[in-house]
Amino acid sequence: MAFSPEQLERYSRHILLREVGGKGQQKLLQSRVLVVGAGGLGSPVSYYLAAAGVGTIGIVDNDRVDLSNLQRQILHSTPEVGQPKVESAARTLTALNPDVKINTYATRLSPDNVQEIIAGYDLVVDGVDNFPTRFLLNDACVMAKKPLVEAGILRWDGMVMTIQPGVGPCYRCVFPAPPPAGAIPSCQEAGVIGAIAGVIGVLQATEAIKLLLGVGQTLTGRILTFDALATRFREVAVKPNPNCPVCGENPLITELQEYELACDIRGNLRKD
Amino acid sequence: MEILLNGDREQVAAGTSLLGLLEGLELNPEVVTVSVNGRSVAGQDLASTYLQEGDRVDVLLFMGGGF
Repeated sequence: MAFSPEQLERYSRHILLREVGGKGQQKLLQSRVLVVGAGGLGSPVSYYLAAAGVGTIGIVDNDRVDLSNLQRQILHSTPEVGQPKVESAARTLTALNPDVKINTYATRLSPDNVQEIIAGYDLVVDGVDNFPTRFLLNDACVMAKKPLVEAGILRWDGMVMTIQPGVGPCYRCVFPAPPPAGAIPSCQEAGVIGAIAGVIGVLQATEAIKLLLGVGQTLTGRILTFDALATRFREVAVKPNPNCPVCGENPLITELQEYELACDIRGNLRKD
Repeated sequence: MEILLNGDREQVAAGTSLLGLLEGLELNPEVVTVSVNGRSVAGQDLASTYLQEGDRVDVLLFMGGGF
């Protein structure tokens, strides 16, 4: 497939890179990435993936844009308050790069739909706002052997890890089960610095692009944490956990389940 | 004895358990996960896991937000 003159110009700074080149850019244009959540993390992730020319981007979110989102969710703008986030996201991303096909899923991930949705993508990026969906997505990706770029933010802190099932540890190898109900405040309750979503989301986008190109060393088996108050990154090496309930030697979780009951119901009902 | 706690050298008393370490840091064990030398330690094993000289201990906060 040859580049159009517009594509050659648009992606010229990628094509100049030895690790990308024309071949790598073609690979990106043929890639399919699912971004779960069109919020704080999903915004920078999908923005940069669309700019990079990732050919197909799926966006999952069942919320509408709220004024309190705009402090960090840069996909959405003031006139779009009240609109479904997936529609606002599709408009923003298509305006940035009409090369990219945007698939929208105005739904909440559940054990009934997650496998079907992730099946059509090369990799998944987690930008969800609650623990039940985070664990569900990890389990579904482990079972489908689908790479997952995982991240979370709270207050002034963030973390990123890349999960390559069968290659390195999964989310449950490190965090075996959701925290007890109400133990962890949500961003709505605790607050979050908007720019943290940018720092962490852009790291996720970079990890995704490296995985698609097959270059460099990803955060597989490493958790990167960021303390914005101290401006300090820290790397924690983590190994696959032989007792992991989903990818260990004797997995207890062999089919997907809904984790709502184990978690903070408030976290699931939040409009954020 | 000396351990490496979140990348920094730290002195702890011999015989300190992971739960004791968290208590000293005023951290609720329910909101963190602890890994020792790269291996995650289950919540129920925090009280019975004792620190050894030179252990690399990382305390990671649960961060659920995508927000």
